[in-house]
Amino acid sequence: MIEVVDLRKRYRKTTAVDGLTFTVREGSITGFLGPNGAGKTTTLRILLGLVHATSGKATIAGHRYRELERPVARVGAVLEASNYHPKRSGRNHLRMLAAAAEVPVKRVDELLEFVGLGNAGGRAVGTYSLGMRQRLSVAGALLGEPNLLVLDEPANGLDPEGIRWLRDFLRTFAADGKTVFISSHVLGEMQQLVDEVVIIHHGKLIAHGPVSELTARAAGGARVRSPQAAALRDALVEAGFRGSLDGDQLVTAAPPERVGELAAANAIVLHELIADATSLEEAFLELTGGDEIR
Amino acid sequence: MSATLRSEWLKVRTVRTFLWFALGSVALILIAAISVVASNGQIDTAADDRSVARIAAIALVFGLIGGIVVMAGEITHGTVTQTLLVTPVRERVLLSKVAIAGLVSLFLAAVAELLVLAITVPGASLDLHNSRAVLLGILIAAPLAGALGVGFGAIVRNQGSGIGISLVWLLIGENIVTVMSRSVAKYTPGRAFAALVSGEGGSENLLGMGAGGIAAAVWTAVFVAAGLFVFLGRDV
Repeated sequence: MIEVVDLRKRYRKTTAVDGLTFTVREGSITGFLGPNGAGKTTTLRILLGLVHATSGKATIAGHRYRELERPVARVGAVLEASNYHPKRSGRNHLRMLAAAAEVPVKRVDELLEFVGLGNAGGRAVGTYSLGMRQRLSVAGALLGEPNLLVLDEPANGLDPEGIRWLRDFLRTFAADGKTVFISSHVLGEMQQLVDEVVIIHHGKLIAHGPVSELTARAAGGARVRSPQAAALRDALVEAGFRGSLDGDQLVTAAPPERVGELAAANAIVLHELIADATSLEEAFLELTGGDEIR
Repeated sequence: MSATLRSEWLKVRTVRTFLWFALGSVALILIAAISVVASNGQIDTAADDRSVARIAAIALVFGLIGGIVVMAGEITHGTVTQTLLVTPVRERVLLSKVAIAGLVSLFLAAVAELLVLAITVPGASLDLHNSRAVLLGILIAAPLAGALGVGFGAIVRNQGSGIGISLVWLLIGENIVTVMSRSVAKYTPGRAFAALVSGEGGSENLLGMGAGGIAAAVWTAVFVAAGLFVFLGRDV
């Protein structure tokens, strides 16, 4: 769905994006993570045709954003919540976008209701809270009923109720087979929401894959349940791994595939073998060397 | 293109900025036209007719500022981001703004002329025959002023700076050029527009109306082309 190939963006003295390559699978919710200044927003803006890449390319369904016919029908984007004329009403803001996108005005009213701004649509955006502006951004992104949503820190400014609303909405959106590419600094929220993550640091890709795989890789160990747990621990120790036993459960620093191999080699029955997952936040900090995330 | 034009027109209609421009233009013209009636009561010569008709040219300044706001206002408020997400073909966005700013400026000029005529024809016997070239020149100059404002707005990006720089140039900059060289000053943007609305054949300080019109059109084309070049290459 999204393909980024050897993407680079240089400003005068700094390199914001440095040879970035990754893909976002159709029908997935993919998180886009990186510390402050990692190049996430620049990458998203290049993808959306707002910033010019120095080299490389970022495409949506094989096309650059500018080449998409009726882009709002393909891609909905939620960027900063401050991009509004403070004196224009929320409804007029959406009408203005709808006119350019050739979307009927009734869709504007439907969306205002959908995002919970039905009663505030006539008010000037300058009187909106940050959360209300984020909801208006989501409404704007949905005008053309797109199959792909690109969101840059959409939870910023949302209260807990708003965050829950956004999470439920994105899950429903993705459940229909649509694609979500979302950058966020709320890692706990991302772990609950996304299928895959792309992690960048200093403009370079440092990890890409399913959340479960990344968290397991960061932890590096496994949890095992076996009626022969003690025998398995002995085999692990003999192979140079540590393991702690608790009844029929064993926790070890050995990777799951090595545990499986040792169990098979020693004819040990396993009832459960799972990668010992750490939190996404811990995995992230380990991958980025503990840099501040944003 | 028509969808982008409709959207640009909605942007103008849904904020009060342009209403204030219209009211400001009307207020200044009322003051000037009523002053003519109150002080003279009668217009004697053809030159006087043209001079009084040129009061309506005040609308050109508001048209220019309107053009700057149409373009730079979007960049200042950041709404250009969402505009470009819906219409990523930047040439289309800028040319739609040129068209809308030209129309708004033309509307302001038409209102200004109607006001001047409504006050000075009965109040001071303004001769329409003598002033028609001026009135025509203002109607030609108005869309050019709006378009030039859009081009300039795309270059400066900030609407406050754009308005400030343009007024300082018109009030001070062109006078400095005049002091330095009268022959060069005739071709500056402000003087070119002044020539276009002069209704006269040219003088030591101004080009003739036709040559002024060509110079004003060239300046407009240069600013729109420069604005487009900057807008196409700039990250938003």
